[in-house]
Amino acid sequence: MNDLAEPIAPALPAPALADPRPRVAASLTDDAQLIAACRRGEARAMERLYHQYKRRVFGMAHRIVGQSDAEEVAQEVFVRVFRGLAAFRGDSALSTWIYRLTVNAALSHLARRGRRHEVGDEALVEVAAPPETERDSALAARIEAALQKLPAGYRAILVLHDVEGLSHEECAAILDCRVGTCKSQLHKARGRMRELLGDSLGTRREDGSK
Amino acid sequence: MSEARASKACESVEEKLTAYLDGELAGDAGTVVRGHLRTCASCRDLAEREAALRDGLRDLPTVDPPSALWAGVQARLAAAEVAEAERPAWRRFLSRLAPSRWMPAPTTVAAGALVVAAAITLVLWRSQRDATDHELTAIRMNVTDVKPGAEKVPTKTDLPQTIALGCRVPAPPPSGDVTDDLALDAARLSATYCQSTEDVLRESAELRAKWQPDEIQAFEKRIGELLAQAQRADEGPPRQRAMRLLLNFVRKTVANTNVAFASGAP
Repeated sequence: MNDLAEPIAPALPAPALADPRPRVAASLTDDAQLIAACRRGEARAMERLYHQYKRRVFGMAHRIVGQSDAEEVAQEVFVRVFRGLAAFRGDSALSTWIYRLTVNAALSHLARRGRRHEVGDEALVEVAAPPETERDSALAARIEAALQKLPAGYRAILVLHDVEGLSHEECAAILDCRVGTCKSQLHKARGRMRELLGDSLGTRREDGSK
Repeated sequence: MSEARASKACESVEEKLTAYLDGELAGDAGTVVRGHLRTCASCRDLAEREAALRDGLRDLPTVDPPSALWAGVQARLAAAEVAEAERPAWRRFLSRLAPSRWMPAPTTVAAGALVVAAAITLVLWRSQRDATDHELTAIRMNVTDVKPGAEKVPTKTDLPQTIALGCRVPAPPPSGDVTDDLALDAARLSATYCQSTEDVLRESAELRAKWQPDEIQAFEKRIGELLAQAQRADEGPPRQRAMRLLLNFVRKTVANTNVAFASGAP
């Protein structure tokens, strides 16, 4: 088929500008004060730091190691955070350091548990599609299920960039890799997800053409 | 456009698709992808599926942590702190050195640091031992005025096998409210120190039974003073510090006597 003969498509997927989820805005001064208070062992400061990061830490752990082990990993992360604050030198933002601890703790946990999430051919079998009427409501559940079938490294980059809305620069700092590597990993990870989700992703076009 | 050329263009666009959809392709590169998507149904389909995936990932619901998470963190921190207190001073010193990132030339400097650490450790250990000796001497000195035979020498059955400190672990709030429960964490930590002290006292009961009555009396008197200090302190870090003092006093005193008995000292 000659591509030029096709009608010019009026509707295109609009390039979405990076739109990270709103985060708790903590200035460097706020972080410094919070860290200093935590180092002094002030219970209120420790509690504040915990509440500031609990959702993201738990959310990341939940999606990387799964529901059953998420609490254990999140506990380990916060213990490492509070015990490691004395040695935290501020070379990176506090949030970056905490997320790095989270990803490392989650990946170490998976390695200890011996779970292998390498995707073989059998794992690429599409997740069964739900009936058409339930498609929208079930998409989130299917995405969560597909996430668990990814290799841990792909899962980490998808969680950091797409779910948590962090920039490539932040992801690279957290994963301790180059920005280019981070982008390439994200591209591959999304490709695997598309394969796993198959038709359930659907398209929003109405002409039915492919 | 030839099929081969079209296929090459599709490959090129597919590689750039993630960046394009994330709004990271500016200028000419973005225009090329956009232009291709207008004419290639296959790539457009791919782009729409990837956009749907990206949106689906962004819209995943936030996962709320369980309400018990903070209590679990607190409990693990307390346990780690107690374990840390039990480690010898030289190991605590070395572990503080370990995570330092500023140390250049790891091999040579680490070797030097170990030598310095060993020297400092020796000094610390000796001063700690001396301090404990002084403490025990002070206990003994407090009771030198007691005339021999003025008090009945207690038999083993008279000796206190356990010393109850009245540790109170706060019960969970009846309301089950998370905020109320969190407010009790400071008291829980103090109670953990208190219970650890009781554990050491219970475990050392047999050993203490071999002490002289005046030593037992002085030991209990000092415990009473430190406990009263802790009870007077405000709940939170001040009370936790006071409870740590008590725990360390009991540990050091018991450990020192243990060494003395093991070496056959009177």
